[in-house]
Order: sequence, then structure tokens, then C-alpha cells
Amino acid sequence: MDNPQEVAGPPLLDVVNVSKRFVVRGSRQSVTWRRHLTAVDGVSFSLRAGEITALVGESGSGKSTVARMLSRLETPSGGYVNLHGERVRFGVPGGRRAYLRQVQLIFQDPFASLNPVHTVRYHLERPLRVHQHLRSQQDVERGVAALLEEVHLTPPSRFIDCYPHQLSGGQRQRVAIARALAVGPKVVLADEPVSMLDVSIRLGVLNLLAQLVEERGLALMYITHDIASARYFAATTHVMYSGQLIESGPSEDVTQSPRHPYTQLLLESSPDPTRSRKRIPLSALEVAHGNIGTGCRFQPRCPYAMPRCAEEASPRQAVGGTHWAACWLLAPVPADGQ
Amino acid sequence: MTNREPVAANSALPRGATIEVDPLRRNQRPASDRFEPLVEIQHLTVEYGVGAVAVSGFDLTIGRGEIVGIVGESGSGKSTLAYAVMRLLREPAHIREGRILYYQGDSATELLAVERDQLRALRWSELAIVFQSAMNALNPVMTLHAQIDDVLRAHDRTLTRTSRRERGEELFKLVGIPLDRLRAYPHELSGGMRQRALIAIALALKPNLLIMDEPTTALDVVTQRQILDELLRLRAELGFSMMFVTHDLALIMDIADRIVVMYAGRAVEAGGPEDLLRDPRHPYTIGLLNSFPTVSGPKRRLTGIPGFPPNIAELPQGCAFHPRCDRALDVCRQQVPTFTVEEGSNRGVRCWLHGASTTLGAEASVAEEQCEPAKLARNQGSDMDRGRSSGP
Repeated sequence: MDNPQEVAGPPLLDVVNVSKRFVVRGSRQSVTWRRHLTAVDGVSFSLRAGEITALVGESGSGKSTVARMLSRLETPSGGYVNLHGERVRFGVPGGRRAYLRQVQLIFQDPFASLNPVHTVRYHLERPLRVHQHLRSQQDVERGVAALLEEVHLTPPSRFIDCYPHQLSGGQRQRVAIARALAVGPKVVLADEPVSMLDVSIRLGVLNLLAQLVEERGLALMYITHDIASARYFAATTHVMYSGQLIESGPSEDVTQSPRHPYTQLLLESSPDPTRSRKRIPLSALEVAHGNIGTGCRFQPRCPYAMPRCAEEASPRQAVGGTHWAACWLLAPVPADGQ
Repeated sequence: MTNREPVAANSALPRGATIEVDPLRRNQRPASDRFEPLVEIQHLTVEYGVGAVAVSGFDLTIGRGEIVGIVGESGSGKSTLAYAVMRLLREPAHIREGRILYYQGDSATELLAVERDQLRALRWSELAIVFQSAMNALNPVMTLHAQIDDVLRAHDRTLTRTSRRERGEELFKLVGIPLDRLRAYPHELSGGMRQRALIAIALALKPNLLIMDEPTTALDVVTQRQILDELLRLRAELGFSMMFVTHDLALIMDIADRIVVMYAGRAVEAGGPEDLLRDPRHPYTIGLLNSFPTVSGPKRRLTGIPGFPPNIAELPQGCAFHPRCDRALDVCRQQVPTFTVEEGSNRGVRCWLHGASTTLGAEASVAEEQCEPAKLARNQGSDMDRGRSSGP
């Protein structure tokens, strides 16, 4: 977890302009209404083999929706995905299964993602048979044992016949990781993989994921609300706010010289006893997410908001290297010195 | 049984008087500088069924206006402790040993021995709790106003409808919820708003002790920070004490006056946030400090803690932490160390590496020395022991 690897190779998974609109229906006094809620709005990024990419945002920012779209639990309303440089076609027979063989999701809550009436063996055997086409009981058994060893649940014989309730949270999450690996994926999407775990256990699970990325050359997307862990764990960090990416770049740059006011707010809010705290401006009080029109979505909470911010959202402004932020404050000053 | 004084008489809280304070300054206890005990937990032992000891020989005194953080992992007994103080434990949990004294003026009430009626009067008006999951703690089919109204009406029949509404509005203003949200149902609010509403309800009767059971765990960091700042401001304004139960050491270090680290039902280290940060002594505390990433400064080496938290039903012999401790001695595997308090300070540690004495059975004597009840009514075999559960 100390040394995130540097950028390596071409993108494995390319996410291009992906959006998700949900229809919200309601009724009040026998008048029904429906409107659209844009949970994810034109998000683009890429994941590389052997690299961890963090997607950071608060609850409701759409980060989990991104993961659910990439694992096809939701169908995107717009945009597309390239895998190994080729556009993925889900319409063709077997397309979805072939895609999921490459891209797997680890859920946040290991108490909910494992079936309580089945043993660890059952959870790991199924993907081995379905996706790896292992037939003989002996092969399957060996595969399950190897997976358990890979996630450091050793000796495998101690865990293989356990039911989820017999395991601790950290052990369950390791089983969930093994289950994702059983398919033999190239891309793993981890949606808040440690937020339900105890502090002393988190580091172990994160280190395990980092080790798997290195050994298997996985492309890992680490979705989290904890920007401090992104700093330690991911090479690249994308910050998401209200369905849009608002800043991204190498994790150290994003966390040490944040340029977007929201990223700054996020960092100042993170508990860190080793520094003295700054007062957080009251204007940053929470505001319901909704359709804010064409302006910057953070503008209602932003202490630096200008008239321009309400009218149109800023495009990506480069701030050195691959680091960019979508904020008008960073726009180059026009030549007439305005 | 001590006679309790009327609630109104002992509320020395400045009503309506707004004090300008910087909520970011630590250790700014309002009222007097003198340490005045509010709640004293003496050698509390809570067992689930037979053999699963969730809290073991726990001692803690919370002063007036003080924020005490209780830090521990799941299964460390921190929530059980909070529930014991509120008398919310249900079967199979039972209190095997110990006393919890609640000080009011010169008299002390034994919380574990009070009868139902008295408990009902104490809860909410003297001791209030904010639960972890705001969605589950609020009634989904009642508006927020109705829920505040309910609390106020249940505890003070003399309040008129208008004065209850005014109080409700005042409370919402206090915790920073727009007044138009009073008529909202819980599902119409964001997680942060719900948690604020719970805090407003908890503060409705101006309790002297607020117990927070992981109040911000489900929230994201920005909302969490706002609520913590809000709590510090309210504490400065209203002067209540807080027992803040959490698993997040980094968070509690920002707001607590004093921290108790729990492991497997026992206090393993106690001290001020600065002490724990600069000079942690118990290997578990050191491990916790080396487990969380920091947002500022150079990257630290994160070592974490190997192994898994123990199952309280089958605790290892000796110090419960020894299987995960890289500095374990032979004695650690055999005997539970005593909790050694440093002379003239609030620092204490339960570790063989830090001066625990080797006399067997010394552990109990530490608690014995601290017991000095003023006027104490103790009633053996409280309703808790008989397993009667009483509603709030």
C-alpha cells in the first residue's frame, strides 16, 4: 500500500462518456408526476492493468452507479465501454457473459453479498464451474483451495465448509474477493470494499487487493468515500461530485494540491489528528442533489462561486501533467487581462 | 433509593444565551474547571448468556461537560457499555457485576438499581442516546415534528401544543435543519439530516449526558465533519457531557477530551487525544494509529494489526490481545494485566510492558479503591438482573 505503481501500458477498460438517468415517479394529491434524475453525467476514465484507480465521492455522488453500470447491473443511458481497445457489444448472444468474465464487482457489504444458506465452498465452486469450465470434482476442489490461499484464508480446510455467519467481516470480504477472482477477471471493481470493516482489518484487505493487482496484473477500480485511503492505495484518483468527475490526476497531486473547491472541502473534512484543523465555511452546508441546470453543480455550496459558475459548468482545466479540475477558477486569464 | 430532584431545578443550562465560542478549540469545558463527576461506571461486567463476557471490569468516570471517546472494534464491548448506561440491554445480556452512579448535586443514583418509573424519568431528561442508524431509530410513519412532540409530551404533560411546537422549532434551529423539514418524514431526508434530527430529539429535554453510538459512521466525511462541529458548538452552549462510542480513532481524536481504548471488553488504554497520538503505549493503540492513512504530511508506513479481533465467547487466556501482539511476553499468555493509572494524570494502560503488577487478583482491587459513593442507594437484584426489559 505504500508505493502505488506508476502508469503502465494501454488502458484495459475505457469508459467513455457514460451516463445514467433514472426516472423518478411520485404522486401528491392524486396528481402523478415523473422526472429524470441524472445520477451519472458523462463520466469518462480508463483503467490500466496492474494499476489501482480510485473513484472518490460522497454518498449520492453516483460512484456506486458507475460501478453498477460497469458490472452491467444497470444499463447505461448513454456512453459506451471499450475493453482491450474494442467497443463492448452487449446485444450479441453471450456478449454479457463474455464481458463479465473479464470484469467483476466486489460489493461493499460482505454481510449481504454472500448467501447465508450456502458455504464458502458453494460460493467459490459455482464461478469455477460456470466460467472456468472446471468439470472434475478434484479440479474444482483444488481451484477453491487455491483461491482461499490467494486471499490468505489459510489453511483452506478451515474455511471451506464455513457458512458466512461463522466468519468475521474481514474474512467474509476475503471470500467475496475470492469469489470475484474465481471468474478469472482482468478488471475488478471494488465498491467501498472496506468501509464496513473494522479499522484494524481494513489495511489487511486493502493490502491484499494491492497484492492481487500486482500478482495478477489486474486493473482495479477502488470506489471509496475515504480520500485518505485513495492517497495511499491508488496511483490515480478521480473525484466525483453529483454525477460528474470534477478533478482527477495522480493521487498524490490530487490530495496534496487539490484544485477544485470540492476536493479541498473533502480533504479538510477528513479526520486527521496529525494536523491542525481549519474551519469549514458554512456555505458548504449540504444541499440536495438535483437538476441544477447547466451550471457547475457545486456552485450552490462553493465559497468561491462567481456569476459565471451558475451559467455554465467549467470544462476540464489542465493543471499540470495528467492532473485536471473542472473549475472556472483555474481557467486561463484572457489576454485582455479581464 | 435516593430521591430525585425535579428536572427543572438542576438544569443550569443557559437557555437562549448564545455564547460565542470557537468550536475548534479543544478542552474548552464550559462551567467550572474543576472536575465534577457526572457518571461513574464502577467495575462493570456484562455477560451475554453464559461465558461471553462483552464488558469486563470496566471503570470510567465522566465529568460534567466532558467528551469521553470510547474506541474499539466490533465486539470490543463499546456499544454494550453504552447500552448498559442507558439500561437498554436485553436478554441474553445481563450485568454480572458493577455499578453505574449518576450524580445530581450531592446525591448519587445507582442507574442499575433504579425502578422502572424512576428510570423513565431519568431517560431522555438526564441521559439520552443517539443511535448509529438514524433510519432505524426514527419512526418511518411519523413526521419529525410528531416524534419530537412525542418525547416532549411524554416527559412533561404540562407543555401546551404551542410551546411544544416552539421547542421543536428551536431544536431544529439548534442542529441546523431548515424549519420546513419539521413536517417531513424520515425517508424524505438525507442521511445527514436524519442524524441531525436524532440529535435534536436527543437534546429535546436538555440531558446532562448524551451517549453517541457511532452517530456518524453511515455518513460521508463532509457531513460527518459538520455534525461534529455542530456537536462541539452545542456542548459549549449547553454544557452536556458526551460519551462518544466509535471505531474511528482518527475521528475521536479530533473531538474528545479523553479517550478510552477498548479491546475484547476491557479498557486497554486511556488518556487525552494528544497523549495517545504522541505517546501511545498499548500495542493495540499503536496498531490502530498505524492503521489509518493520513491526508496531510508525508505518507506514513501503515503496518496495521495482524490477525482478527477475538470472539468474546472464546477469549484467549491472559491478555486478549496477545495473539495479535508482536511484543507479547510469556506472562501475557497467562495473566490478564492490571489497568495501571499513572500518578496524577488521566493516563492509564493495561499492558505487561507498561508496569502492570504481577500479583494475581490485583485487578479487582483497582476498582475497589476508586469506589467512594457519596450518598448511595443500592438495590441488589435490579430489574435488569431479573431480565425485565422496560421501554423508554
